[in-house]
Amino acid sequence: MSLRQTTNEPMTGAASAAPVTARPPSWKRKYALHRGEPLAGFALIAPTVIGLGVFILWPAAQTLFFSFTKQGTFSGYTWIGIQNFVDIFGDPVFYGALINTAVLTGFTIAAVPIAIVCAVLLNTEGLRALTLYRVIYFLPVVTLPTAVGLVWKYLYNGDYGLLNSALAVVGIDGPSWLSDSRFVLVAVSMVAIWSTLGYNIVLLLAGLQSIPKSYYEAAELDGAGKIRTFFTITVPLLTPTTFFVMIISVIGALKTFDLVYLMVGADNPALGSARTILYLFYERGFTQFNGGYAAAIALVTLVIIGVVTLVQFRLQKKWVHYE
Amino acid sequence: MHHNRVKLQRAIVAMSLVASVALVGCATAPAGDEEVELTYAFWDQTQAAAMEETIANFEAANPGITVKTQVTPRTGDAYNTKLRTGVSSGTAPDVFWLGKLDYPTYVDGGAVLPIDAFVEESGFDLSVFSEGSIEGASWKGELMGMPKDTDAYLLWYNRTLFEEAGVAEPTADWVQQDLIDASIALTDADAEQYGFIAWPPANQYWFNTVIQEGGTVISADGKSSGLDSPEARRGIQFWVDMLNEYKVSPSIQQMTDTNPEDMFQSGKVAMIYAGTWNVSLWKDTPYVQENVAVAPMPKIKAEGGVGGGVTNVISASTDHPDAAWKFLEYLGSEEAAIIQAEGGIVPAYTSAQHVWADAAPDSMNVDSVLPALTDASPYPTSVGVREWGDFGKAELLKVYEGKLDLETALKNFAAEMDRVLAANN
Repeated sequence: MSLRQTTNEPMTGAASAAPVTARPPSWKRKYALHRGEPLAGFALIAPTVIGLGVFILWPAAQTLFFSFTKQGTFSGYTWIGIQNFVDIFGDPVFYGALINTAVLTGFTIAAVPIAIVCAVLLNTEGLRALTLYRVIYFLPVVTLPTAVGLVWKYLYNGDYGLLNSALAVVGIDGPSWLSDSRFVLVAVSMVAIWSTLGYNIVLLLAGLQSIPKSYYEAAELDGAGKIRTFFTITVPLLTPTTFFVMIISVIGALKTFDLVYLMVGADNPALGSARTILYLFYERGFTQFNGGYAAAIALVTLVIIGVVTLVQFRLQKKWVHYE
Repeated sequence: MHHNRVKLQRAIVAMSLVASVALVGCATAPAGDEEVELTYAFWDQTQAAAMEETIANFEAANPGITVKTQVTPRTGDAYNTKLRTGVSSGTAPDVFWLGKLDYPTYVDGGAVLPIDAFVEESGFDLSVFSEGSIEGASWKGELMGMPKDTDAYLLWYNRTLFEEAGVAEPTADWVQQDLIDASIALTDADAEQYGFIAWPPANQYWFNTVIQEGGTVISADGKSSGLDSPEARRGIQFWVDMLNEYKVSPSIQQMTDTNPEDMFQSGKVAMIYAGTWNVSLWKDTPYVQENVAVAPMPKIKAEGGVGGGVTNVISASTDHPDAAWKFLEYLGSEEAAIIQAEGGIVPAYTSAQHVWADAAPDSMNVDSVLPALTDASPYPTSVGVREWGDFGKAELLKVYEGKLDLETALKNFAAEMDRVLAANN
């Protein structure tokens, strides 16, 4: 790669070539040959750097600043120091949202083994219509969250929903899944799991295919059965991928907003049992016009995600096996 | 090889430069002097046809001005979210609808251009509107917009269900006990038929009964809550009783899963409090035409209830205030009023209100409720209404679920309201 050469050259070139001849230092000669390269490099990374700066870094800096202010209705602000954070930690609604988010995240983690089992089954050699199964599992991932939310809202309807019609067949009188505070979080969590399952399966499939076949052959020769092989070879050797899936699932669950907004919504009596941290952020920031408080919630969420991810990285030593 | 690569890199650099120049060019392209395009934002898809017709008339009379509509539903608060973001970033539509709920927030926050100077200059006659409409479109002594429509809550009922149950239809003389008795007689829980819709956390329902009990939601000076009072308690207790005591309404869960108005218009519920604007929604529905009529809400101590009404306003950040005023002036004309009256919306233009009654199907008996329009009290709202509104909804919900007594809930509600009102005054 010529790009790598140019970056390495200055060290050696400058030291050896400078004293003896009048020729330009060798890095300059090299540079002359590749005149367009650094410029081209900058041009090529510019869209990413500018995009990152304008759409991520600058807003993040602003959010940090806003979290210490009270926003005017449409413009202007007053500096109020850490008052927003004081309010957040004295707000029972925030703790409710925190608990809901934790429960939802718990469900998501509990669903990772399901994804592993599905991935292993979809990895079966000689399975008929394999591609079809893979497409079916992956379809929810490429479906618009809006469509997912609305269709499930209909399926969950207490009086006319398909789910309760199905339950009625076996004699169960199903509840109003999305408006009963006892069931709403489970109902939303199931959809969250269902809609990310396919993505996790694809990641795990890639992990499965990187496990050398020779281990399985050796196990077979030693007379290990399918179950034994699964637990002693597949599961341990899949742990690096499982770890990655856990990280992104947890971050995704902590950021849940769209399903709650679409399936539960503002006028729902069960909202208190389904409100996630980011839904609270939306409520405070976008319907109650309280931007400073919302910015503070966003920062608290960032810290929570950071801490949870850090803890996961610390814990990985205990269970993740790298070959 | 190398030569080619350098060439390719140069081409890429050149292309990105060209692209950025082109983008800058777009941003600074000068706007035409003659042609003005206004953006008009509203939320009601049902009224879109009437709005398009109004715009077509306006454009024909005002060459050089075109109006582009932007319809954002209020479902999930999308209209407010979008409008608020637009105002904050200086990209609000030139002319837009403001409903009563968020009216104080937007006008007090400086999102709206006052129109007194335009009215004076053009000699627009404001006496075509009622005093209440003008007051509802004003703020701190300034006129902020053009009253578009007005509304009131009515008792909508299903004639067929009344007939089947052998219950006498509601009249203008009904009192609250008549409503309770009829609701009980019309409820048949086994057949999943209910007498009445009692969705207590919905502000628009209990606002009416609190006012009819002689109470207030917010004091007349807008500085304190009127909810910690016996009148307010009685006004809200009615809804709790309809739901929990008489059990004449679908459960809160059922009403969350399925829109209560849909239950009503499919014949599952005999009576519902709903607005005059439902004429626009239901006038062409065959089932409603055959089975549904309206009556005034039953009396308690006082008649009437809460009114509302949309105001057409000009954005404070518009680049075309003069063109926007021309459009607003037309929106306030008799011609525009008649178009929306025919579409089923009561216009603020008082002399055209009979058109609304005439255009509704005769079977609805809309004439009987015209007095309700003049009896209505202003919609109780304030800057910061979302804060106390959401808080109150959550408190009242605890009451309906039997987790909190009404008196404590209303004390908490009133305290939160007072706090918000004090913080914003």
